[in-house]
Amino acid sequence: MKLTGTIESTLLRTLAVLASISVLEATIGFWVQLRTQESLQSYSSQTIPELIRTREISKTVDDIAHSSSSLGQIQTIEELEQAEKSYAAQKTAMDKLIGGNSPKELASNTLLPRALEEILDNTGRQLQMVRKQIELRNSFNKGQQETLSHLKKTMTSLETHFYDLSESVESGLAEIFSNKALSRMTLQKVTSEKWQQHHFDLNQVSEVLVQLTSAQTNLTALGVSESRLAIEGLKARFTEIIRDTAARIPLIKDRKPLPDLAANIDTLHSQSLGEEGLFALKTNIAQLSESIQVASELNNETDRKLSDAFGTFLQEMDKRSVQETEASRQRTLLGMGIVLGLGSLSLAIAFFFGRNYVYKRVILRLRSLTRQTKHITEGHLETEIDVTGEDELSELAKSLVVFRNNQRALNSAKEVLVEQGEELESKNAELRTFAYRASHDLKAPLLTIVGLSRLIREDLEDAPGQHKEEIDNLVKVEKVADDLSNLIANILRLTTADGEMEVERFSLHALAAKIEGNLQGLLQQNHVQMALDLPHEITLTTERVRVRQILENLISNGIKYCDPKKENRRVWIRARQTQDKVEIEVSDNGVGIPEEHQNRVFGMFERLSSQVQGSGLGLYLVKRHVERLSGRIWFRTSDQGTSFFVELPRVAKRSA
Amino acid sequence: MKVNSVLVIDDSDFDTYLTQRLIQKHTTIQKVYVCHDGAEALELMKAGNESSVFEGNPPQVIFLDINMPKMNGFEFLRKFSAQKENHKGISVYMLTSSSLDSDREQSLAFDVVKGHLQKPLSKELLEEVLAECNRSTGQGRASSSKS
Repeated sequence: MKLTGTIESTLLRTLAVLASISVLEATIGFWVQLRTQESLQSYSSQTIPELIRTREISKTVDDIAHSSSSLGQIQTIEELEQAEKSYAAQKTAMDKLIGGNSPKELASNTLLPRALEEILDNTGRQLQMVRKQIELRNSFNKGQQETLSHLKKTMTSLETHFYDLSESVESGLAEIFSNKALSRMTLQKVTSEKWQQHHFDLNQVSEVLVQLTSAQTNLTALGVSESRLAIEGLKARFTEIIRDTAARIPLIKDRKPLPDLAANIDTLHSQSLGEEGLFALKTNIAQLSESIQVASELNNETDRKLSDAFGTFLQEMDKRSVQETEASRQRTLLGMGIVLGLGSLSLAIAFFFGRNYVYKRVILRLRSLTRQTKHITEGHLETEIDVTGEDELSELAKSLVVFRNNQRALNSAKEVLVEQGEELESKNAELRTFAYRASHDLKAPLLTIVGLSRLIREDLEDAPGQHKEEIDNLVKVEKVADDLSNLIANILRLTTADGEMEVERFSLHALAAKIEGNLQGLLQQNHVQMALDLPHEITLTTERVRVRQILENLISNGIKYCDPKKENRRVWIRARQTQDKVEIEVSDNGVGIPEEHQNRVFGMFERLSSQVQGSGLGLYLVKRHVERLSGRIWFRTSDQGTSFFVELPRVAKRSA
Repeated sequence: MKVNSVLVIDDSDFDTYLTQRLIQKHTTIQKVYVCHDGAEALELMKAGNESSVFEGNPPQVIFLDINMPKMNGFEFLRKFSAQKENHKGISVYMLTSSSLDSDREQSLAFDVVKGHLQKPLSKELLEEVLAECNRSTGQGRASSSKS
C-alpha cells in the first residue's frame, strides 16, 4: 500500500509538472509569434529601399523565428545545446547586420532594432525555458528510475520474505499433515464400532430399496409382455379368420343371384372383420393400460417409501454424524493430549479434518442422493445420479438409477400406448361410420324392391285365379330380398355391436318372456310350443343387449330347425345359478345337427339346411357375444333334438 | 280425426311412388304432397301457414325418411318442432330403412313423432297408422309401431 502510494503520488506530481510546462510553452510560442508579426508588419511599412536592404536581415529573422518555433520540439540536452549554438550564431549575425552595414538607416527607425532585439531576447528566454524544462524532465526520469529501483528492491525483499514464509508454512503444513494422519488413525480406531452399525443400517435400507425396485421392474415387464402375447395371439386370429372367410366368400357369391350386392357384402364383411380385430386389440390395450396403471400406482408407492426411507435415514445419519463428530472430537482431544502431546493448533486442525471427513464422505453425498431421489419422484427423469464409490451409499444410488431407468421406460411405453390407442380409436370410428353408411345404402334399395314387389303382387291378386305363376315368382323375389336384408342387418349388428354396451341388472325370466312375445309369429308359423322353466329370482348384471341377442338367436334357431314330422314340436328354456355364474339351456326336439356339420356350428355364414331361412350369421354372433361376456357356450345334439348351454358370469367384470 | 291429406318426405322416387300408390289403393286420402328433403318440406309447410297452398286441406300426417341429402330427417324434426304453428295436430311417422335402435330412440324423442316405421310401407302398416290417427285426437302418442 505504502509503495503504491508513493508511486502514485510521484506519477501525479510529474504529470502536473508536465502539464504546466506545456501550457507555458504554448503561451510563450503564441506571444512570440504575435510580437514578431507585429514587428514585421511595422517594419514592412517602412520604405521599399529599406525593405530591400533589410531582406537579408529579414531572412535571418525568419531563421530565428523558425528556430524559435522549433524550440518546443527540443527533447534532449544535445538538441538544446545545438539550438543554443545556432542562437548564438544568429545573434552574432544579427548584431553584425544591425550594427555594421546600415546603422544610419536602421538607427533612424527604432522599431526594427527593438523588434529584433525582442525576438532574440524571446528566443533566449525560450531557450532558457527549454533548458529548465529538459533539466526538469531529466531529473524526473532520474527520480522515476530511483523509485523503480526502490520498488525492485522492495519486491526482492518481499520475495525473500515470502519464500521464508512459505518455507515455514510448508514445514508447518507437513507437521499438520503428519498430525492429521495420526488423528485420523485415532479417529478410525475409536469409531470403527459405530461405523459398523452404520454399515448395517445402510445395508438394510439398500436391501429394501432393491426389493422394491425389482418388484416394480417385474410388474412393468409383466404388463408389457402380457399385452404383447395378447397382440400376437390376436394377429394369428385375424389371419385365421380372414383366410377362412376369404375361402367362403365365393360360395356366397354363387348362392346369391345379385352379384353386385354380393360384392358389397364382400366389402362390408371384410370391414366388419377388420373392426372386430381392431376392437379386440383395443380391449387388449385397455387391459394393458390398466396393468400399467397398477404398475404405476405401485411405482408411486415405491417412490413414497423410497423418499420416506431416505428421509428417516438422513435424519438418523445427521444425528449420528453430529454425535460421531462430537465423540471423535472429544476422543481426539483426549488421545492427542495424552498419547501424542501435540499443541493446540494441531488438535484444532485434526478436529477440522475429522469433521470434514465425515461431512464429505457421508452427509454431502446423502444430501445429494436425497435431492436426486426427490427430483426423480417429482417426475424429473433427466436427473443425473452420482454413483461413484464402492460403499453402501453408491449401492443406494445404483438402485436409484435402476428405478429411474424403469420409470423412463414406463413413461415412453405409456406414450406409445396412448398414441396407438388414439389411432385405433379414430380408425374404429371411421369404420363404424363406413359400416353404417354401407349397410344403409345396401338395405334401402332392397326394401324398395320388397315394397314394389308386394305392390305388384297385390295388383295381380286383384284378378283372382289369373297370374298364379307371376305371383309365386314375386313371393320368391320377396323371400330372397328378405334373406339379404336379414343378412345385412346381421352384418350391421356385428359391426356396431362391438362397442361398449350398457350394463344393467335384469331378470332373466322377464327377458325370456319378452323374447317369447317377439317370436310369436315364428312360433305360430312353425307350430312350435315354447316353455319357460326359469326361476324368477335369477338376475344378471351385464350387457343386456348381448344376452337378448344370444337368447333370440338360440330360440329362433330352435324354432326354425323343428322337426316337421313330429306332432308335438317344442322349445324350452331352463336356467340355474351358482354363486357367481348362470347356466342357461335352450333345447328343442328338432332335427338335430348332423355330425358332419357339428364342427362348424359357430362359423361365419354357416347354414345347416337350405330349407331354413337365415343369414348364417346367427350362431357366429352368439359366440361373439358370449366371448365378450367372458362366458362359455357348448351344445349337445342328436336326431331327437339339440340343447345349447350358455354359461355367463352373473355380474359383468367391468361393473364388478 | 279423419286423415284427408298426407305429406311424404323422402329422397327416393321409388319409395314416394310406392307410398302414393298404397295410399291411393287402400285409403280414402285425397291428397298426397311429396318433398325430396327436409328443407323443401319446411318451405312447403311455411308457405302453407302463410297462404292457401294446401287449399284448406293441410296434411295431418307426415311420413318422414331419415337419410336424405341437404337436410336429413332429424334436422327437419328439430326445425319443424321449433315452430309453434306447426303443432296443429300434425302426426309425424318415421318411415326409414334403418333398423338401428339409436335412430328409433332419437326420432321418438320428438313429441311430434308418433311412430317409427321400418320400410317398406305395406297395406297393413298404413291401415294401422290411419286407425291410430282416427282413434287419437292427434295429441297423444299411440303405441308406436312394429318393425
